[in-house]
Amino acid sequence: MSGLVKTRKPKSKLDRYTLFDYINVVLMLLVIFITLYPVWYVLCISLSSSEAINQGVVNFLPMKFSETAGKIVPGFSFEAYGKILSTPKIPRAYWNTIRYTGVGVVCELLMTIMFAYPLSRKTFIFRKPLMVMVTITMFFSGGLIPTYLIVSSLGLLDSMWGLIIPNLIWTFDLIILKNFFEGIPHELYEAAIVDGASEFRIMTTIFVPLAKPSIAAIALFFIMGNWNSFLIPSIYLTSADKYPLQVVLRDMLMNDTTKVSDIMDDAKFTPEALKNATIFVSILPMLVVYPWLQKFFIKGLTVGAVKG
Amino acid sequence: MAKASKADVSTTVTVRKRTLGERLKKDWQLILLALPGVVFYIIFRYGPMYGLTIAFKDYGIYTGILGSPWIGFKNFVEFFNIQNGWTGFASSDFLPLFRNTLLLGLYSLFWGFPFPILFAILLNEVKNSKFKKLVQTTSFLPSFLSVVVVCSMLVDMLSPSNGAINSLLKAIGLVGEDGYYFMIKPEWFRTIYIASDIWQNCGYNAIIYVAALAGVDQQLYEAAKIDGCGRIKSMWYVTLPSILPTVATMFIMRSGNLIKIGYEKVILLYQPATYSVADIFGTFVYRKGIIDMDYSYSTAVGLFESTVALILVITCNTISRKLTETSLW
Repeated sequence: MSGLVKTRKPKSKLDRYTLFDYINVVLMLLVIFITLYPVWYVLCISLSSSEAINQGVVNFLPMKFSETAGKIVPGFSFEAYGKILSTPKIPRAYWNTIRYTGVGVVCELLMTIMFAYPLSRKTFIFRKPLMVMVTITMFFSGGLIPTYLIVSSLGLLDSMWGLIIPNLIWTFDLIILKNFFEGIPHELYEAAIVDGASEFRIMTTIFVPLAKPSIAAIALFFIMGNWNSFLIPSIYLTSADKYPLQVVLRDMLMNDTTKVSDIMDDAKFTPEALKNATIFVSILPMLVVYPWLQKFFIKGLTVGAVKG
Repeated sequence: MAKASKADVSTTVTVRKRTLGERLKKDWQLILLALPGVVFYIIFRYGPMYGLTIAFKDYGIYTGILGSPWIGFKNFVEFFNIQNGWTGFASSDFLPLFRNTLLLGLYSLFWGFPFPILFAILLNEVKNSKFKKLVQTTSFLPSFLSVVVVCSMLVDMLSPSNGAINSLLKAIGLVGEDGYYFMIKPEWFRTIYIASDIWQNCGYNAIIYVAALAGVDQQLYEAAKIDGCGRIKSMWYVTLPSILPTVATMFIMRSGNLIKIGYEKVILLYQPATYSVADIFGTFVYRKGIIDMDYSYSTAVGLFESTVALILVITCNTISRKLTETSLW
């Protein structure tokens, strides 16, 4: 006990805060502020009333016009959120995003695991040629237009499957998982083979449970990729009722006045609040889950990215 | 005779390689597992590569990839506009696209590359581990946001009438009552693109350096301290050299991807007023192909871009292998 205290004491003296530390802490606080402020700003705008936004007084707090004070004061207005619920376009897009993300992530995970496993088996007869086939696609691809023409010729345009099937496997994530599978001790595999287990069984009962951290990391990448994708859905989908949230947001951003006005009734209501409320509900799930998922995020990057 | 053959078998079984048929038979389960993936790669990754042939064809919607007539390098001649000599080339589609792509890539590398390193080094100097964790967690929040969301935020914050930036500029009297319309100013485009990129990806890109710094032997710092190094000096002589290999590798990888610019973001941010600096290969392909439906021509431009990108990656990787003994393959 006393030994512990003794060794700690001089250390804390050495670690005394110097001018450098204070400057550094201030810099880091600045980083936090710069990072969070735009998100906070979105929230403030979404909770402000139209008069306040139009006057440009919303900077650090949500503002609204107060009848009693006769001027604009800090306060909440849930006008925009009510609008989101009452215009069918946005809840529908939200549901589409959830659907595409859910189905997409499950299909992508299944395909990636199923392909990564054989590629990770050193004795697999086609390992080398298949790895070459896969790796080439990391450096060269057909690009936007030929891919579009293939998807179109398969009749996959304007459907959920057109978004999911052409992107079932991402080579980068496939290789992360393959590398992780390769790191699992070979003795486990051999023992299972000797016991007469089938490859499918080995994969599902030994490799997948052991690769949970890696699978969680790529699942997170898949969730983010699907939830945030906008260009491919905006090209492949033609009917507006199939649009995911990001495409609806893009429309609001691009043709600001025209597109937003057709889902508004009263001209007094400012599109800014509606747009920012939509942004906020679209990022809310990410904001809620990311502090818990970030360790997988870090792991996925540091384990997979640098191969020794 | 029988005896001899028996002995033969027992000795050869251990050394003889399995025949192809035997190996196929042994691996049939693995083959079955790999099959969907192989089919996927052939159709959706190699199919489009085959589709690149339309760059040399006059593609028609009804004739398809296979049935359209060959036209040779006509699209490329048009792209570089070389049939009219140098004067034609000077006004080709290629020249501004090449300049814009290269400059945007170079500026992104120049400004975007040092920030994550600087951030990781300063973060490493934070003594309170809880605060350190908080800063790092916060720092990669923006990389969870979509490009659309980031661009919406940008447009709102830079809005001349009621954006936060313009409110600030108006308050300190730098701009007049009408505000300053950043989004239509070509001279601001690259700054906006790159600054928002740093904002969004600095924390994410710093992860790898933070991980590298966590592995630095603490005894080195103590030794440096005994040798009379202050904080700044030990950052310079201990911290920086220990992450230098990671920095070199990342720099080469980034350089290889120099012209692979996130054109989705450019599509969201640019306007006809800023095309002169903002239009890059990716956005041009999108406009010509998806909006104007000029499939052959846009594919030719896309093919040119991917070829240049490939050459760049291979060059950088070769340099990397020579200098740092790390390479992608």
